[in-house]
Order: sequence, then C-alpha cells, then structure tokens
Amino acid sequence: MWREIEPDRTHEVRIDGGFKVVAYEFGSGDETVFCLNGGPGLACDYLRDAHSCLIDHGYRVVAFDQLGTGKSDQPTDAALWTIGRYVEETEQVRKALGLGRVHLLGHSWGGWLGIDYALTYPEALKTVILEDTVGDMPHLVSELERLRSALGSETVAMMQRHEAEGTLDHPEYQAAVTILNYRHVCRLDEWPAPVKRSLDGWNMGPYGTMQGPNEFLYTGNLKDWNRIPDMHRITVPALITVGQHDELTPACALKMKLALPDAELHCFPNSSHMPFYEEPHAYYPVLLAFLEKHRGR
Amino acid sequence: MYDRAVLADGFVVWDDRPADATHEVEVGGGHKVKVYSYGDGPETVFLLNGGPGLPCNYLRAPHLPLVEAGYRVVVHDQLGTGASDHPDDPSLWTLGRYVEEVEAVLDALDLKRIHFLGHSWGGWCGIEYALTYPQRIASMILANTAADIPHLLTEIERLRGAMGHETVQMMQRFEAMGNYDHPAYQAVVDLLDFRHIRRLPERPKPAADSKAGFNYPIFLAVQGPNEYHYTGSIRTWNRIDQLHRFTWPTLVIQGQHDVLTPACGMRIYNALPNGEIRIFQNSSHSAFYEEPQAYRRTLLDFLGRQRAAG
Repeated sequence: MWREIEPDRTHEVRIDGGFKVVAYEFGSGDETVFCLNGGPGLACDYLRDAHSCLIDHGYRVVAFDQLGTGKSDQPTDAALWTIGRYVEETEQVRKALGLGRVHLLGHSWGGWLGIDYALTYPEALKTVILEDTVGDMPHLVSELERLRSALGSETVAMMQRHEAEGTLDHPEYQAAVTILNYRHVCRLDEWPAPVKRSLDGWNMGPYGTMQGPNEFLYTGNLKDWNRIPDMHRITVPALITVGQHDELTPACALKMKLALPDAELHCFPNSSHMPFYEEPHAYYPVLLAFLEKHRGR
Repeated sequence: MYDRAVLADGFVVWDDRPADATHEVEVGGGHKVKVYSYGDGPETVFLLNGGPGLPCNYLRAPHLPLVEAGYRVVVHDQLGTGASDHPDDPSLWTLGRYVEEVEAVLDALDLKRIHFLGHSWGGWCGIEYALTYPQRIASMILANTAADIPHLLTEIERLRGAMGHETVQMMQRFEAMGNYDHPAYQAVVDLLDFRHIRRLPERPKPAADSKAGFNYPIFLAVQGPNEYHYTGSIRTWNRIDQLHRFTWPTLVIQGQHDVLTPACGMRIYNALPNGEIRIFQNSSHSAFYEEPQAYRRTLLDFLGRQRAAG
C-alpha cells in the first residue's frame, strides 16, 4: 500500500540546455522501477508516492520532476515542450543516476513518453509498464467523445460552443469538466494528498502546448501522435493496466496490447485513471507479480 | 449602488432605483418587513419573488419599467431577507405564514385591487394566497411556477436524466449521504442552473444582489438543498384541484427550458377557468432577463387588457 515516504537520496541532474531536473531515489539494488508521471506539467508527487512503497519488496524506485514542474527548473520557452525533448531528458536522468536497465513505469502522459523512450532507447529497459495510457491519440479522442456524450447532447453542444468560442473558463463548461474528472480521472470522493500536491502546481505551459486545455479536449502537438504501428518493436515484457472507467479507456489499452509482442493487460473494474489510489488492494498484487516474474532479467 | 441595463435601442431591461415610498409593516410575532412602492398609477402590480429566502432585487429591477407604463409597482423583502427582519426561528418558514405576511403587507398599504405577479416560489405562495384571500385579486400572473409539486418532481427527474444515468446515480449517492457540497455534485447543480434557471453567460446584477442576500435555511426548510432535489415541506403540495376557483384572468408564463417545466405551466393553465399561457422559447426560469422584450410585451399586453376591462 502506498504511503508518503521521504526519499533516501535527492539528485540534481543537469540536462541539455543547462536546466536542472530534480530526481528522487528510494531504496537500492539492481531492480529499479523508473517512474514517468503524467501531465504533462505535473510534479511527480502523485506517482512517486504511489510507488515508493515498492522498496518494501526490494525494489529501488526513482522518479523525477520533469522539466517545468516541481523542484526542477521551470523555463517558459514553449519550444521545450515536445515529447522528443522529454525522451532525451529521461535518458539523461537515467544515465546521471547510473540506473542501468530499468523497469520503466509510465502513467498517462508518462506512458506516451515511455513508449517513445522505449522505441528510442530499447537497450535501457528490462520491462515496460504502461499504466492508464494510450498508443493512439486519434483513437483516444474518439473515446473521449464517447465519455462526454454520456452527459447528454445538450451538455456536449454547450461544451462545443465554449470550445469554439474559447470561453473554457466559463463555470458551466468547468462544471462539465469537474463531473468528468470525478468520473474518469479519480473516482475517490476525496482525492489523495499527493494527487492534490501535483495538481496544485500544474504548469499549464507544457500541458497546453502538448495536450490541450483539459482532459477532454486535445488540441496540442500530440493530438495526432500514434505509435501503434511501431510498438511491435518494443520486445521487452510489457504490463498494461487500466481502469474500467479510465478517461484513457480500456479500448485504448487493448489497442496497445494487440500491438505489443509480449504484453499482459489488467483492467481494474472500480477504477478510472488512478487504480493505485482507487483500488490499491487490487493494483499492487498485479504490479508486484509482474515485477517478480521478470526480476533479474 | 443603483444601476440599470439598457439595450442599444433604448429598451430598459432592468432598473434598480430607490423606491418612491417605503413602508415597514408588522407581519406578526413582532417581526417587520420592508415594502417598496414605485409610481402612483391607479393599477397596482404586486410582485412576489421566488426563493424562498431571496431578497426581492432580482424580480423588482426588471419590473420597474412598468412604472413608466403607468403602473404602480409594490414589492417587499419577504421575512428573513433583504431589509426585512431576519428572525432565527425555523418555525416561521412555512407557506401558511408567508400567506399571512402577504395579506398583512397588502392590508397595511390598503391595496384593495391588485394584479398579483408571483414568480417561482412567489407563484406557489401566490396561489395559496389567492385561495385564502381572493378579495384583492383583479388578475394574476403566474410566472415560472407550478401548482403540483409531485408532478414537478417527476419533471425534474427528466431534466436530471438528460445528464446521463451515471450522473444521476452520483447525485443520488451524494443526496443519500446529505453531502450536497461535494464538487462533483455541485458541478451538476451549477451546470443545470445555467440550463434551467438562467440561460445567460453571467448573472445580471440584481440577480447577483439577491443571491448575495440568500437566506439558505429558509430555502432548505421549504424547498430543499437546490433546484433539483426537494426535501422541504413543499414537496407534497398540490393545488391543481382548487384552481377552478380562480375566476379572475390569469396569465401563465413559462420558459421552454424552465426548471419548472412547460408541462407544469400547462397543468396550471388546464385547471384555470379564465387562463392564458405563454411559453418563451429561448428562456428557462427568468424570461424577464433572457427574452426581456418579448416578456415585457406579453406582460404589458395582459395588464393593458385588464386595465381596459377593470
């Protein structure tokens, strides 16, 4: 079960451009779970605190605040907000900490980043864990339309009007987003403290540039991203996890499983986008069983 | 503090200005209410606003232009709101006591013949008043109201249902727990308010003023925690079978998107011996703000015919 643990070591890594990125290390040993959190634009707290407890089972856990978030530098140059640059940042953090081959765990946007990282640096991986993420953004967008539609045609028309007019701050539009967030992002009535900490510091620069203004409207530079045709090249064992009510839907997860040569998939029936908080008793055994199975690769 | 909203063609949507005369009226129990009177025409329009628990600002301001059309307009802050006393006694928040309050106000101002305009809760209270004290009623305007709350509740279920069954189940869960403050529940209420209460991007200032003075415990006692969940004393109220006693001309007004739906208006209309009905196509619960010109025309036409007949 997750709990908030102080990191054993904190590292400041210089990445390309001279920027500082802060990484957090828990435990020690050869089996490293390297966490790439979602957002983009979120500090790593919510994913770090959900996985630092893996030290109880002998794993070393590393997470870092991606450039623009948390304790890392927060430049404002929008040219920095590309998935390619984040792939290089990830590699520079892995090398600086001397992690060797890792179990790469990517959640949401961290999954997109993990897929591109795995395609670029396959030799760095023991396994890949793709949580609540997708390999095909246009397909995801069609799925999000389905989720919005469940709020009724008049609601969708209202949302489309505000999106067309650029009045996304209007309380009636924000109300629809709030309903969907509690349904498809985290179904807990009270969101856990690490989630709130990550959300409180959300940097809308990377988020708006790469994804869009909210979880249900994709307008950024990733909106046409699709790695399904390339994912057959990711040959390490893969674990895919998803919540039944996930905004990045089970159909998105299935698409990745069918594209990967060595993948298993687990869908948590009472979760949306954060099974580690929504169904921890179901989530951790699945993750630990996968890691144990591939320990020592 | 006083202000007005004027369209490009000079049409005054609402006018917030000091009363020509104010009165403090004792309404029983030693409590006083503040009454506002505008104009001095021989024909008096008496306004009774909705809520309950809202000061009268939101209904008064869009009806003050009736003064320029020659009508006297009288309105008051119902007990517990605005410039009236704010007693902290839950036993006061009953329909029957508010009926007596209205009679006390009309008696104190010696208004023997009125055109009674009740909006929303002001319609429920107006219906109950007219059944109890029919003598002063020359005509009635029942705006955005209902006379059969059990029927209204089935209509509200329909409006909630349009948000999808998962949304309704989420609402029912929070309602069962009494957790009306949860952001997910509140989000649905906010969204539905923009759809069924006021289809405007922003609250007009008089409506914001009323909202700022909202006395929630009154609303909760009589109606419920919001417009889509009735837990209060009004929830079984139904006067449809009494409306045949309304011998005076009555105009029923509803918005097509009204939280108190066109079907609620039609139920009233069908029960009235001398009624007419008008549904505003692009309005919800506040046609005086949502379609102000069409609303004003309808109102002045109705009142003008009563004046000619009277």
